[in-house]
Amino acid sequence: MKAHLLATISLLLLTTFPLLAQSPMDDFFRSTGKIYTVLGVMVILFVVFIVFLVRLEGKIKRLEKQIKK
Amino acid sequence: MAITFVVFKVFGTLEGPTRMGVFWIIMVFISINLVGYSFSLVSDRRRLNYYQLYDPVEFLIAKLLANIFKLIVAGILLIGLFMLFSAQGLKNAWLFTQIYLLASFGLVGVLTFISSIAVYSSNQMSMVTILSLPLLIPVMMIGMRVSLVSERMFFDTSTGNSLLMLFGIDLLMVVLSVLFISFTWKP
Amino acid sequence: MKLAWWKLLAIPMMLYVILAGTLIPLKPGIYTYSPTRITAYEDEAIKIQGYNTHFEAGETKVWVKLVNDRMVPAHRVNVISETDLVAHFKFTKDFVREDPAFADATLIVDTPTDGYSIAPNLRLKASDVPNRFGVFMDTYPLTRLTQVDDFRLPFRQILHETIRNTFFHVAIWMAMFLLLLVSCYHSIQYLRKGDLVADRKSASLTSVGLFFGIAGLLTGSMWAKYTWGTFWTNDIKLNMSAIAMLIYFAYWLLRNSISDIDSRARTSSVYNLFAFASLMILVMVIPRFSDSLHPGNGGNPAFAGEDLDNTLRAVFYPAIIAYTLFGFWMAQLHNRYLDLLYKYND
Repeated sequence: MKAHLLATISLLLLTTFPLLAQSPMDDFFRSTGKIYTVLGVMVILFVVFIVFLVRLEGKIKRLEKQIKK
Repeated sequence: MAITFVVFKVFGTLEGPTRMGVFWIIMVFISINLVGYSFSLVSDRRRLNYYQLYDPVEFLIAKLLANIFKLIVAGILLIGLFMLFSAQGLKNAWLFTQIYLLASFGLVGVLTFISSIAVYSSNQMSMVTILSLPLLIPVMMIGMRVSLVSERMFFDTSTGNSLLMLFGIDLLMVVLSVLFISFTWKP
Repeated sequence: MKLAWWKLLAIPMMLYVILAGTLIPLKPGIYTYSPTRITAYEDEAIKIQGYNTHFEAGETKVWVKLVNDRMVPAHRVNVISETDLVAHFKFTKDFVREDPAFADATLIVDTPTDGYSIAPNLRLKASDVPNRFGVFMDTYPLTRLTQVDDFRLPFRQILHETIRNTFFHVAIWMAMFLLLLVSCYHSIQYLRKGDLVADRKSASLTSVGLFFGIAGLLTGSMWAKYTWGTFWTNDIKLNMSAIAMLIYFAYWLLRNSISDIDSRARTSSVYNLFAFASLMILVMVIPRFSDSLHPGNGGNPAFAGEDLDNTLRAVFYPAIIAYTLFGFWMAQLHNRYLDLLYKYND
């Protein structure tokens, strides 16, 4: 549960960081679509890290079950 | 040989880039079959016998030489068939010979090494292909590129570089396999 | 729970990389200008759109830099807003007399607050119209530009904001190299001493390295879409990295396909070293001999000197360290799992 909460918070933080940089030029920045590429790249990194953690957790769960038996 | 025949039946006539592409693909298949299983298609008792008799490095070098010989003979047969079917000689025979020999060494180096590794895996046959294919791709890419140049498909001044690179890869494969054979080759 | 010092270091570093990497603004630059092909004529107006710029009427100077490193000043600059201006040039055909075809020139905008910014690929063509003014154009040597040093990321054509991906895409590749290098060290340790602990360490590091590599490929694909136009180009470095990842994927398959612990450790250690050598050849050596869109290959400038300026460095190096530390953390968790599995199976 704690991990899920942490994950949600981090995702929120990650997605809002570029939005924090507000300036009158913002609409123009976004219209070029380039800042979204950076955002996309960060999301991909985040997803890969999460996939690693989820897989590891699955493995550990299997081991725990084996040990219980 | 049968594959070559079928290929020519399917394509009708083969010329230029397709001829070279098909040639190298068939070469990869031949080499996987000839070289890739050279360590695994030996019974356990015989392997133990070899292990007691020979030094691993000597054994590896003997295997390498035998495999190179086998592959080159097979390749020459293949080239002969290709020329027979497409009724077209090689345009730059010297360059083609160079790239053919270097690429063959590369194939043999990679596959002999992989073959010595895959012995312990549970499904050797598929493991050899899976392990070796990513390593064979660069060798094939360089080989195909230079052999297209030798067919005068396009001009390239950097063939010397490619040949040098291929030679470097060959050397590295041989050095690595000689270094590691004493670790991997245990009955 | 007490964390090891390097894990505690990894967290603020990662935070710094994310914050600094997204929030440090770009240096001002010229976003677009039109027309990009002009015929040298008496009066030519070039419309310039700036990015993060602060054009000021009266203060802003616009120049066209010619092939011979001389500059032609704009005789009138119309500042419309902070980011838009129209510069009027009096081109004569004299400066391109030697070359009747289009000559390459560079557009330079100089403001006291922003410093100078340049835009390449302005094409000039000599006209047949006689020079009405009857004088040669005034050209100036290349020394009169305002240099402003501030802590901002460099503005590069085409890349623009995506230069920030240096901290995420390039850095994750570097971190992967470091992880795999350490993995190789453990493999050698195993081969020398036969200690299974070292083999498990190497396996964990390689598996994290594989994940980082996949992340590198995916992020690269994303970045390529917006700079080179497609998700997957035929770029040599891209294809070679993909092949290298296939090799590591094969390592993973090999490891899972051998049941005997000792022969698995021996075989996968050897294959690991072999894979690292191939990775080095595929990604570091081969692309240097052929054309590549990546920096540092095929005549492209490398990530050194001018390309990697101090501001980039200040985030790029911490990014590599942060990812590497995170990688070690992930690998350590995986390794602890492997240790437990080993003890349980024993």
